Amino acid sequence: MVKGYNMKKANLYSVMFDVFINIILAMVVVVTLYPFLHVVSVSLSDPYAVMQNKVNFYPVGFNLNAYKSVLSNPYIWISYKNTIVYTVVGTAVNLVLTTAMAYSLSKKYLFGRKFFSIFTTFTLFFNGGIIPNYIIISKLGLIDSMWALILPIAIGTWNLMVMRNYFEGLPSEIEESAAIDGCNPVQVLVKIVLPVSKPIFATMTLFYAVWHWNTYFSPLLYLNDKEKYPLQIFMQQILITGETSFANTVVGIEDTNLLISNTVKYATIMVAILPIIMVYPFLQKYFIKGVLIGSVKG
Amino acid sequence: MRAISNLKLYFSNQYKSFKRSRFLLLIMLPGIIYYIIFHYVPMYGLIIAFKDFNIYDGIINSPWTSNYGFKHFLELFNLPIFYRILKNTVLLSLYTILFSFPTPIILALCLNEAKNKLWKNTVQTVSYLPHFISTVVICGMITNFLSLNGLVNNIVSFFGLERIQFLLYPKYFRTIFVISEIWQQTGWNSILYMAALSQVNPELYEACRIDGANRFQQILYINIPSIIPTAIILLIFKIGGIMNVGFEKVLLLYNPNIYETADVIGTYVYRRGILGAEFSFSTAVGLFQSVIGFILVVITNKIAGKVSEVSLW
Repeated sequence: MVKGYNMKKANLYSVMFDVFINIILAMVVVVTLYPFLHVVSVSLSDPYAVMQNKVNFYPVGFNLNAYKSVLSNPYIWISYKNTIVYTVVGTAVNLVLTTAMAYSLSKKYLFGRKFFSIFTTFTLFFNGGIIPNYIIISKLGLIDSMWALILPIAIGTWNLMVMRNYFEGLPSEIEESAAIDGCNPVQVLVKIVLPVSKPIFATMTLFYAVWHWNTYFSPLLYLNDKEKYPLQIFMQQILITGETSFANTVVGIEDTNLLISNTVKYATIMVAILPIIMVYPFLQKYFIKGVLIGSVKG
Repeated sequence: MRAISNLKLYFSNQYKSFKRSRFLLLIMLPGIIYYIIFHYVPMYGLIIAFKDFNIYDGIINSPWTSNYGFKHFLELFNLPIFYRILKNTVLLSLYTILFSFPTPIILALCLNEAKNKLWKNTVQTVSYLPHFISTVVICGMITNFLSLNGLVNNIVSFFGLERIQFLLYPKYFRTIFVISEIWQQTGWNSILYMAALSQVNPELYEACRIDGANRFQQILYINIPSIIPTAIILLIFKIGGIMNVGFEKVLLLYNPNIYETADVIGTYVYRRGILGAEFSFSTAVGLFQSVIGFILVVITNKIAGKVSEVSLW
C-alpha cells in the first residue's frame, strides 16, 4: 500500500515536472516568434488600423499595399541584386580559399605546420582594428569596389579551424592508398576528400552566405555609391534613419507620414529576411554538425 | 664534425618535408597571402597609433609623435570621455554576460527533458532563427517596436502607463541591449550544451534513479556537472571578448541623447576615426582596446586551465 502511494506521488511529480518543462519551452517559442508575427501582421494591415494600435496578433484590414510600395522602389531591387552578387561571389571565394588552406593545415607532414597554425589562430585574438584596415583597403584602391566586402573576409579563421578539424577526422587510409597509386595531393583532395565532405561544405556555405548576406559595417565603410549598396544599407536607411532620400523614394515624397511608413518598414523587414527564413530550417542538421565539429578541438 | 652532420641531417629532413608538402604549400599560398595582407599588414599599421599619420607620407614616413610616441595615448587618458566609453563598454559586456550566459543552459536543460522528438526539434529550429537575422533587421525591429507607436508602447499603454520614447533615455539602453541579445542568441548558444548533454552516459541516470533521485535531482547531479566544462570554455570566450561589445548593434541603436550609457569604444573610434578622419588618435584608442582584450583572453585562459584542465590552447 505504502509503496503504491509513493509510486503515485512520484508519477504525479514527474507529470508536473513535464508540464513545467513544456511551459518553459512553449514560452521560448512564443517569445521568439511573436516579434516576427507582429511584423507580418503590421506589414499586411491597413495603416490606419496600425495607427490606432489595433494590430497585435493578426492583420487588420488585410492588404498588400505595403509590399507593392516596397517592391516598386527600384533601390530594393538594386540592393537585393547587389547582395546576391556579393553573397555568391564572396561565398565562392571563401569556400575555395578556406578549403585549400584547411586541407593543407590538416596534414601532419605539412612543412611549418605549427607555424601556420599559430599564424592563423593568432588573428582570432588580436587584430589591427577598424582604422588600419580602412587605410589598407583604401590604399589597395578597393573603396567603392565589391572586393572590399569580399577580400578582407576571404577566410573566417573560426571556419578554417572547423574545416581543418573535419579533414583531420577523415580516415587517412584511402588518401594514402591513392597517394601510393600516384595521385598528387591536389588530385587526392579533389577526387577523394571533397566528395566525402558534403556536410562540412553545406555548413560552411550557410555560415559564409549568412555572413555576407547580413554584413553591414564593411559596406558602410567602403561603399559610397548608392548603386552598389547592399540590402543591409538600404534596410538601415529605411528602418532606422527613415528620413533619407532613399526612404522618401519608397514612401513617396508626399506621403512621408508615419502611417504608411510603418507598414512599409515592416514589409521591408519581411522582404529582407524571407530568403533566410525559408532556407535555414532545411540546413539545420548540417550547421549543427558544423558547430559541433568546430567545438571538438576549438 | 658531429654537430655539422646533425645540422646537415636537420636541413635535409626539413628539405624533404618541404618537398613533400610543396603541393600543400602551393594551394594554401592564396590563404597565406590573405592573412598577410588583411591581418598582419593592418597589425603593422597599428604603429600609426604612435605617429602623426597623414595620407601623403603614408604609414612608414609619417613622423613619430611627441612623448616618445605616446602622445595620442596620453591625450586619450586625459579625456573625460575615455572613462565613459571604457565604463560603457565593460558594463554593457558584463551585463550581457551576466544575463545571457545562463539562459542557453536553462534552455538546453529543458530541451533535454522534452520527450516528444518533433516538439523538441520544433523548439530548437525556432530558437535558432533569430541568430540568422542581420543586426540591421534586429535593430530595425527594436527601433520600431520601441517607437511611440510601436509594439512595446502598445503593451505599456495597455497597462495604463504613459508611452515613452525608450531610445531617447540613457537609463533604458543597457536593458534594451541585453534583452535583445538574450532574444537573439539563447537558442544558438544552447547547441553546444545540447551536445554536451547528449554525451552523458545513460547508466548514470539509471544509477541515480535507483538511489531514489527525482528528475530535478538528476538534472542537478548529472546534467549540470556534465555541461560545466563547456560552460567554462564559453565563459572564457565571453570574458576575453569583453572589450569587443557588439559595437555594430550599438552603432545602429544609439543617438547623441544616450551617449552617456550607449557610447562604447568601438563607436567612438568610428566617429573620431572614420567620420572625423583622425586616423592616428583613433587607432591608438582601438589599440588600447585590443591590447586589454588580448590580455584578458590570456589571463582567463590560464585561470580556466588551472580550475578545470580545459583551456583554449
